[in-house]
Amino acid sequence: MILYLLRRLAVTALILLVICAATFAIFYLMPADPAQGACGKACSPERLAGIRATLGLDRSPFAQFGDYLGGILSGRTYGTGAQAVPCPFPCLGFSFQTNRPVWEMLTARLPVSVSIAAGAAVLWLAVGVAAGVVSALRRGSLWDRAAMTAALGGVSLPVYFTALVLQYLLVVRLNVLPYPTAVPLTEDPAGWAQSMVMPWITLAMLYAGVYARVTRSEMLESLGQNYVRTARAKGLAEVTVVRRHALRPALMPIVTIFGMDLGALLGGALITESVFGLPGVGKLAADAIAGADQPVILGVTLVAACFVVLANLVVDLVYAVLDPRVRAVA
Amino acid sequence: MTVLRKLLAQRSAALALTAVALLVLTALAAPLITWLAGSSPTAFHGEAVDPALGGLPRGTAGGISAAHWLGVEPVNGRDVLARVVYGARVSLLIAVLATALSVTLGTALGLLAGFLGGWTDTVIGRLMDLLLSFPSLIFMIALISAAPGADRRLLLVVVLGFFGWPYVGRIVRGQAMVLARGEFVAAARVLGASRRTLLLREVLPNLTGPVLVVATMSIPACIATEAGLSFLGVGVQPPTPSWGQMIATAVPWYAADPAYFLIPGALLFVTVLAFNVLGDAVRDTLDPRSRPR
Repeated sequence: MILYLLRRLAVTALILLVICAATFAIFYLMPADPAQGACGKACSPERLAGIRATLGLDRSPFAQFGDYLGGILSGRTYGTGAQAVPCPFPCLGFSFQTNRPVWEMLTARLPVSVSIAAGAAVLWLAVGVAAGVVSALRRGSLWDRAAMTAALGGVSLPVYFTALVLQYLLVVRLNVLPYPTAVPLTEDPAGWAQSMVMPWITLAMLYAGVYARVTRSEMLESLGQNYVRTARAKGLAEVTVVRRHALRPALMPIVTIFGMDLGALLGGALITESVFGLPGVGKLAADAIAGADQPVILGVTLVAACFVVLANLVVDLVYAVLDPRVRAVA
Repeated sequence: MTVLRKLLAQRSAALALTAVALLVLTALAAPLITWLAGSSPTAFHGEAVDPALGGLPRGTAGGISAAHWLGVEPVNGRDVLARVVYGARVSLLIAVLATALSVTLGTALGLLAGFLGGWTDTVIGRLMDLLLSFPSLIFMIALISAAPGADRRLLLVVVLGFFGWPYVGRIVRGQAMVLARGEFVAAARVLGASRRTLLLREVLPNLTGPVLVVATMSIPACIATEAGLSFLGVGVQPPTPSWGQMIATAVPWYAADPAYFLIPGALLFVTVLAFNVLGDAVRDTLDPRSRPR
């Protein structure tokens, strides 16, 4: 188990390094000069050269990449002397447009993204899995057909469309919710929930459909297995058969997609946050893209990739704990 | 053609197929439709909007009238019908080409990985794992914004295809692995067939079913992603219309002129839904393991 863990950690680190290099390469290929962006409109050639030197843009791409990696691991300082700009560990770059380290900007936005992702995840997991189980048990019934039609509809809904419809209906027409604003959970739990309800529903409609479909087909598969027939034949209560023998194996693929989906969402629900104007990591990315603030885009990409890769790692570990065969194969 | 007949026998699939056919027809006949409606996707109609209300369309439901069947855009008064119809062209073309690219790449690489095994499989398999763990939306945005001068439509096709192939490759690889151990392959090998013949003549034809299923599933995913990217401002650039871009420009107007986001949004929803229903039906028809409901 320890060996397996170590090997998986090494692979994870390697993947992150490759992602980091790929992202960096894309930005290196960018025709837009980051120094030009940081310099602003009234920009003299001397000042531009100064900024290039401060950012280390006059060095070779490999040296720059080395600087970047070094910054992540131990922090770095841009420039020297009186103009030195410190960027403490873990330095994901420095946004000269906002004059703040990227890490600081990211961590300030993270609570909003986590609130959106966590709430939506609870909602879609509960609704999706429950609907899928009931559908599988009452296969072909009216409920099954209605639930699966709704699931297909949910899967096909573009999030920005759902978001706009919800906002139009609930805020403008029915006036039952306020415009979403970022309210910290610790200050005003009710206000927090109120502002998060629409993003939660928006995302949950999409994902619950996926989960209901997967749960249903996995449940149907496991319900057809011989061990379920055995469990029934030896006289176990139907509830026990469904919960212990049919649902448990059906949940394994759910764990996989749940890890990936949650990981992706923690890195910012780009579109949802943009539509509702909630200042999460996704909105930060969208704004940085609009303003061509490259250090921020690079940082967000890296952190988002980190979440996905780490979620995959956690999923693999959960698998290894649940199923010893995985350890043996790996 | 038996697949088509089986599909048409199912009511939902037949409906979805009709919707898709109508959509393709609309996209193809875009110039004809706009000519009939007497509109153009790029012409401004200042008289159709009310400057006193900040450029809100005159009349009800976003300015629906005899001259503008689906209303006009706020501020510049471009005809919504014309833009929606031309937008269908752009969205479909990008999705189909991107799917073609990802299916070609995914089938070729998945086939090689699954059939040859060994280090080929290791390299291609790891590459797929890597691409699947990328935050692809942010990455696509980064890539597209890294090339401001390029033709966005071409770039979208390349980027969508590139990030889409591992999904195809994963499925093809698994199937090819099973097929490679099949008796018919062993028989052909004994008869002296070359590796090339084995790959192209024996294994590839057996992959048609799964590939057709992933291709049908990939088109709605590409349409939705393209619309999402256009929505975020890194997709199709104005004045070329796209549904996602139309919804994005409708965001500031959603309260005053809801028809403006409802029309392209509903069309996008129906299109993606139709493709998804069709994909499900194709899978149920071709895969004997998944029984039709």
